[in-house]
Amino acid sequence: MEHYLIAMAITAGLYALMALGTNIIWGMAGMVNLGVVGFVGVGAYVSALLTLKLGWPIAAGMAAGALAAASVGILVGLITVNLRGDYLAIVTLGFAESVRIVTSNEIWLANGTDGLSGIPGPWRADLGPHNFNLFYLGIVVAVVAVAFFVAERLCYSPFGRVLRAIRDDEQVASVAGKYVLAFKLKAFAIGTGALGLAGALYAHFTSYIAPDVFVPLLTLYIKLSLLAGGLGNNRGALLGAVAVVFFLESTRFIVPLIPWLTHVQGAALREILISVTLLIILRYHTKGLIPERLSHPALPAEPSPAHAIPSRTGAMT
Amino acid sequence: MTLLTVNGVERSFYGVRALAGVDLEVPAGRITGLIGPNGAGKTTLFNCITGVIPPDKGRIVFDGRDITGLRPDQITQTGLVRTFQIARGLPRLSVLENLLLYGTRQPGEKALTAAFNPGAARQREEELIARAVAVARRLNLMHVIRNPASDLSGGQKKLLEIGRALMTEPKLILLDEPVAGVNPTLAKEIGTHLRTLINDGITILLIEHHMDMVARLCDHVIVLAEGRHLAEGTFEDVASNEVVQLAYMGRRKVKVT
Repeated sequence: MEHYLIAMAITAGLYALMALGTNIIWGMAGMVNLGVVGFVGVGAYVSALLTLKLGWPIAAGMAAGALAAASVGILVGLITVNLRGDYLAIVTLGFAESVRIVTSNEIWLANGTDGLSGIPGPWRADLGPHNFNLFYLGIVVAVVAVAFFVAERLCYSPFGRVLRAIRDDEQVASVAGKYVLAFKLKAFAIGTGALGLAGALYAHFTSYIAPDVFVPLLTLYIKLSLLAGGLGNNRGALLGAVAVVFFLESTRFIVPLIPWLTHVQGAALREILISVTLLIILRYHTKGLIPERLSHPALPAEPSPAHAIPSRTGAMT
Repeated sequence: MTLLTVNGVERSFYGVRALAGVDLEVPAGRITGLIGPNGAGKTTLFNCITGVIPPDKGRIVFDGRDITGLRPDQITQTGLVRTFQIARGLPRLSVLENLLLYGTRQPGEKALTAAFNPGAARQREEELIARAVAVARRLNLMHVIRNPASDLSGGQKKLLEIGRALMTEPKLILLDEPVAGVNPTLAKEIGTHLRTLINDGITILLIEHHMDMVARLCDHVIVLAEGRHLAEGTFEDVASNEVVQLAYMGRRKVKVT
């Protein structure tokens, strides 16, 4: 059971990292990316292949996985530069599916649907299964902490301000003197880089990846984490990811308590429970559990109430 | 001195000629009014000048520099900024953030600086905040500076449009109907604000349909009709011009021979 809990904590951490990355693209810059799982897959495969086939050190493999995902992110960003909303969503969804299909079919490269096994984990043999999991949890927590710290800084920095402006009105941001395309691509690169890193962390934890790990359902769980937690808020992303993993897993234990359900019905009931929970959250917290907050840079001290102002415009309009 | 020269600018939308070769000059240090009936191409001309919509043909020179075909952000950085006809405050940003967004030369807009070296951005941010506060005070927006822009009244949104433009340290501001839908008292006040901007050395080109406002405020008036420059002069000149009156009131049926 302890083993299971640690593994779930790691999963929650990886979800949190993906939610943080997606939040930069979707929550801050307002671009709907339904290709989350594609970038996770790129990160996982690149890191796994480099460590397995070329014998790279694990850390270098992970860094390369994140960089590869970020580069692909820039490429997808460039291709979709004129697409917005639903159209961007469809193209990114297609991208994620192509990653899955390419890894399924290019057997020479990625071993097809059999997947890659024996992906090294840091000191896996020396630590033994239990200690390895604990150690890996430590790594994941550290990475999520750093990612959260960076994401918080970005969100309330001048850079994040431009992203949020682009989300609200691209043309205004452009007239404000900001090169919108460059900012969008940067947001895409940072976000997809985090997604790639999450994929690489996943690969070296489970030691096995296959195309059917990277299905669109995962993208939806990440979107769900953000919606429930609070889109545009990094704390919300963390909370939402943990809540979603908790729900996904806890329903596993609730369902068997209902005696007359078959396995298939049980699985369906889990999905229903999760959907109902999301609906309830969004009914009472339309902006998620922790809504986005306005940034209030510190203002200099007010001079005494201004008598100099001739008239009070605000009261009349 | 001429600050902005527009030369033979054309723009069509799917066969509709919105601009059919506009020529005009905007002198520095004055308020120039751009008037004309609805559909004359005034806003399209603004869009072409500011790079929001690239012109099909023609040349636009601002402050001695050819800005034709530049992106809107590049044009803003040359010192030419525009406001929008329907106030487009960024709703999920506070008034202060709306102002700061238009600030220039902020190193914290680079992602790496923002993430790993926020100290480098802080000094500039303080300067920009001081400027934003000065602008907000000037435009009587100080009491709402922390509110989200979506909570502003119609008139305050118009003021915020002007305030944001001022944040870019502009030489020329293009105002698209700065007092449309604003009550007469506030309209007068906006007029006074604009006058003080001229004293600060900023040039203004404005589109307006309130003729009393144009008469009171504009040193020089240019009339646009059917995508062309029709007439120009002082408001009195233009108002008494029969061609202009025809353009506004509709023309008698003229047989094409």
